[in-house]
Amino acid sequence: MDIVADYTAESRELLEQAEGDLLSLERMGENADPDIIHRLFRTIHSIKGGAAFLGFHNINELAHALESLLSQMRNHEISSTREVMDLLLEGTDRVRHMIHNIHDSNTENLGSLPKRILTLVGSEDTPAQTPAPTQAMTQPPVQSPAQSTQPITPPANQGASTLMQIAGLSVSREALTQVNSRHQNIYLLTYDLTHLPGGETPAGLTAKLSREGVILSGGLNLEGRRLEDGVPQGALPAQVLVASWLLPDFMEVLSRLPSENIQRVGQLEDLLNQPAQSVAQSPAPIVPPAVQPVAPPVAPPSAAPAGYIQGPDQTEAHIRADFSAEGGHIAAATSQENATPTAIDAATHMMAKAEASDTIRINITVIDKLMRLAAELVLLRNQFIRWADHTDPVSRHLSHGLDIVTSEIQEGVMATRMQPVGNLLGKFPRVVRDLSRSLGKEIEIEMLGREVEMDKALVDALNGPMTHLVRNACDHGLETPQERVRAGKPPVGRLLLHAFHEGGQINLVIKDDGRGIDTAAVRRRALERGLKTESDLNDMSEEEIHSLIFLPGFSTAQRVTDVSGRGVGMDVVRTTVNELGGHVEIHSVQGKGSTITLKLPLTLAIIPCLIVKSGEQRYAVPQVNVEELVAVGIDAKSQNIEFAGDREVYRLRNRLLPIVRLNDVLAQPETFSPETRRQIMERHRLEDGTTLGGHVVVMKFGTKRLGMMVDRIQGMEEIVVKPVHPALKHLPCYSGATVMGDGQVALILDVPGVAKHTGVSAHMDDLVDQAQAQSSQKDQRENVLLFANGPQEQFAMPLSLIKRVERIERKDIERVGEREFITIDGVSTQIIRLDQYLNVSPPVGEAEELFLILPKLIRRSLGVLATQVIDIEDASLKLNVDSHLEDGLMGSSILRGRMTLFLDIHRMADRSQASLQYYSGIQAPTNTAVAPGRKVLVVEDSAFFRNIVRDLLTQNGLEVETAGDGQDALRAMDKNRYDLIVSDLQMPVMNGFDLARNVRARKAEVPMIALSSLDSDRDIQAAKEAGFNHYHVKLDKKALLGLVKQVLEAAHPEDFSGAQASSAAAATAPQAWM
Amino acid sequence: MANALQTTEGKKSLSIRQTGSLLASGRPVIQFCTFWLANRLFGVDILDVREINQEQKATPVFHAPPEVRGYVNIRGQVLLALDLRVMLGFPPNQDATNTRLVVFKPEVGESFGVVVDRVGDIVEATAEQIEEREVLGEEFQISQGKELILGECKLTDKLVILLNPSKFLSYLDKE
Repeated sequence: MDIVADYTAESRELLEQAEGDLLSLERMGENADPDIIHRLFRTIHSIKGGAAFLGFHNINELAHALESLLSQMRNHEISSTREVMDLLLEGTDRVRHMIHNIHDSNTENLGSLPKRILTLVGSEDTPAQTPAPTQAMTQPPVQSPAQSTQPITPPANQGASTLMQIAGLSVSREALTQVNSRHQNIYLLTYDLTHLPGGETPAGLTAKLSREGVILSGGLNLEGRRLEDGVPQGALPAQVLVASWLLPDFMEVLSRLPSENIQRVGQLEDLLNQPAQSVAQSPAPIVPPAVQPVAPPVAPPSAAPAGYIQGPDQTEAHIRADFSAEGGHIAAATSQENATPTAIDAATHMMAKAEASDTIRINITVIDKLMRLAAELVLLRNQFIRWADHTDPVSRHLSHGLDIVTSEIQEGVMATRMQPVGNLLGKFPRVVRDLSRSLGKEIEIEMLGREVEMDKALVDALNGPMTHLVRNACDHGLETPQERVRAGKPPVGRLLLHAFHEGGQINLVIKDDGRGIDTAAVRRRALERGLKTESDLNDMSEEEIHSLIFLPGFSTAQRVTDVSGRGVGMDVVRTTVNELGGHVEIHSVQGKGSTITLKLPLTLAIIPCLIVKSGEQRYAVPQVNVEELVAVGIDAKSQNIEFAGDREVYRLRNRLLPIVRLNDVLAQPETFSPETRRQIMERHRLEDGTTLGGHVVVMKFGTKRLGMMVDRIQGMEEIVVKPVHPALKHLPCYSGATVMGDGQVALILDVPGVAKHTGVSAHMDDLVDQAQAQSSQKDQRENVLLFANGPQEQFAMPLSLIKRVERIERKDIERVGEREFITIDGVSTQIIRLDQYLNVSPPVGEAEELFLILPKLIRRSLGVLATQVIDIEDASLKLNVDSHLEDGLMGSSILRGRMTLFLDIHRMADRSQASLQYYSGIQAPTNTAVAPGRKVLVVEDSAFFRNIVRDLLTQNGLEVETAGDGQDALRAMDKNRYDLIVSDLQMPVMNGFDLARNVRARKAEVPMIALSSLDSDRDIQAAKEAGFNHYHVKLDKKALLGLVKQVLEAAHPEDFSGAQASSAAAATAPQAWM
Repeated sequence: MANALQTTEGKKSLSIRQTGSLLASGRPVIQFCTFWLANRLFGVDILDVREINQEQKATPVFHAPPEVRGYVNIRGQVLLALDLRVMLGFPPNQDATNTRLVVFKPEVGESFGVVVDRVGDIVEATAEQIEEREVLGEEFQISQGKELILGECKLTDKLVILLNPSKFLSYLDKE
């Protein structure tokens, strides 16, 4: 066990949190939140304690200075001025630096920093000098065998005279005087650092001890390291001097040490009353013989540590049992001692919570190995399933089981690699703060979607590009306050970092409301640098011109600053993102701001691919690049493929799609010249001017599209990506290889590479029907799949939400209880029959062949059953979203002259998870208008319940807005006025109780209903005290509606007295399409 | 058949890739893994060989140089198979019944192997039997791949042309 590594890892985490706290503290200015100061104090304190424990005296010294400053802030003796904040930030930065280079930390020259901090704290605390600097310079921290104990001294003020020797450890008198007088008992604890009891970590231990006392000093006992004693290298005894209020028995429980390792060395009061010098010179009265503290009397000192530490397991087990049994007592004792709960208790409580964390640290190489093995397992599973005899029930059962377990293992292992994007974004508030200072700008940063998870490798790799983009936005994008005011904008610039999932990808958006990209300047620069010719530029859309900033050697900055503008950044951003399998999109409006979107795959190791065939060879096309599949008159002459210039094009819903044939791509090693393209085109042109059709994969890359005709389409498969062999890296058309289920290798096609190889470039867009493209931008249009289930309704789903449509046979459907499943790609997929979830007609008759629409972005495998796939239609997404919309529908629209229902596939997925019966129970419409037009805010963290409540209330004529937690709700209340708030109690970020308190603190009179599954009298009482007017147990719909009605009636009697006919009629109108 | 041959590595032996020369390796006896190509016997330092596999169906890589036979899957690992006949300028092999894939250690080059007509014995040679010289041309009728050849080894009953596998991958770049 590497204790130092543990300490540094934990300290880094603590510091990360501290930085966020510091920044929010700074934002608060004078009205600093005491909780945050406390948290900071505890953080720094823990770091200090650990440093003292391990002998990192520089960290200890600096942390101590910071702690003193924070302590004064806590006591309101000093306010968080800019100077204070700067010093705190500088100090924590320095501590972080030392933590990063922990083994050099003791030789680090802190300069005047601690002194400057302490000067701020007040003159009486200023240290005359840092302790023993010369000695520190020459001594490595832990390993030094030179001394038996290496004292760690908190900075002393008046030189050596105040240093006291207690049990062989030096303690500054000043530190003693600061100890709370209730910590009367001074203990010397001896730990073996290589075997901390109960797998405790040093930082955990420090935190624990600090909770019940104060760590005065610590040191390593290295005497037992002599070889002639024959002691194995094992034990590494460390001594800690603690002042605590705990009595010895409790100290035993807390420290988990056997009693012989706990020595009570005196009373705080006695020590303080002793003249400093006499203590320093004659430690004898308090200190037991120097070698004894560790050892039971008989054993030689060196042997002792090993002895007791590997001692009887029984003892340890016993202690552990005691600890859990006594834990309650300790807590009880604490609260008795300190009857009024103070902020310290809150902080302590928080620490305790943090400590009971249910996470462990795992080396990434272990995970990588698991990842590889899981990938191999998937392949073995695929091979096995292929080989297994599916007519044999036992074999089928086994392969089904293997299938499920393998998928889950794979998912589980993948999940271990996932990290919240917050880890990547966390540093940016600080970056932006520092930048805005140095640039003289005011910038407010907002971050959304910190919880979105992505592969650790991606998080690591994106650090550079994201930093560059943020810096760029601050430097070039956002203007100075004066410029902004002149442009009629608020002086504070806004920067938004937003992470979210879309289309099986992760989107990272960097958006600013700055000056935007100056198209003319980009054009000028491109000409100047000879990157593009005048005629090139004239052919380019604005967006394409903006994309030029990603070319190597391009920089539009008027001046080169140290922040950005070295002209090496943006192309590196794009290259990095491309290497990660993603791409960059830019959208900018001059004067309004820029939005840069990075689109990235969820993970790098396994990607879903479409497998296509050219002759006997299989090729994988990453699903992110596949837009749709089109069958163009298979093996027959096609009228739809036209010849334009030197290539074939296909008119796909009024957009011309360039077509290449995979066979031609593979047969031609050189990049296509116009001449090759013409030759190929002529080869395929038949006498009558038509050409043979085939399967076309519509592939997209960036904003462009390319149709690739292939011999066969085999299907989708999740594949494990293996890198291209380095000797073949120069081939543009491949991005990797993979082993297929039958053990053969298949190549992964690189779509942008194929496009480049075949010469499909920006110019192709000239062929696009511009008018069509523009009109579709104006009024949000999208391609939707039209399909039918029963005879009466036509359904639609946006293509962007569909993974693909699978043809299935009725006989393959298996029933499991209430639900139906079918195996697709070896994965058990739940079937959703629309007539079971919506009030729509069931299919007529029993067709053998059915369609299963597999949606994207749904974690669970499920598919919507359709009896007929009608067509793909370009439809406006302006839907009719009447308030009486059924749960599971997005809206309706008239397509091809028929009322068409747009499915809300995510709702359907949510609903399919809950039992069907349950739903049929609550689905009974309760259409009684309550108080039409009144505005209700529904606060609930579970999307599931939120939607139920929302739908229930909207169905009854109320206007409903929703919020995901208390803070969200408060923000909504800043913008709108509500007539009623219905809130859950248990929520992340800000719970219902706090929300109510906040609402009431704002003197808002709005009635509030608590909606919770907690139903003890105590909770009800607590909710009332927090400010809720009513309490309602979740999911009794009728009663909730009654209560809402009653509350609103009391508040607005006028709604109920008379005319409510019109809106009530709308609310109760029969649902038109049924 | 997967591990028809696993080499054992002597602790102090140096291989050709460490010294650039067989003779400079200082080994009194050098073992060679031999194989046949177009009726000529070739040998590579046994310390460079990871294993010999029955040749598997390689997945062709279009656009790659002709020396690349394709990708093969050896126990989940994707390897690049090179065609040594093409590299040395021999005509394609008509009889594939005994072809094998000689896979080299990662130190020699990243995940690759060469396809040979059939494998021969493991032979031992002393430094005196090895001659590092150019053997291209008339004598063996090898028209290309000069830089791949180290020299020859004269055994009592046969002659082995010695190859340097650490040059194989870089040979692909020469065009």
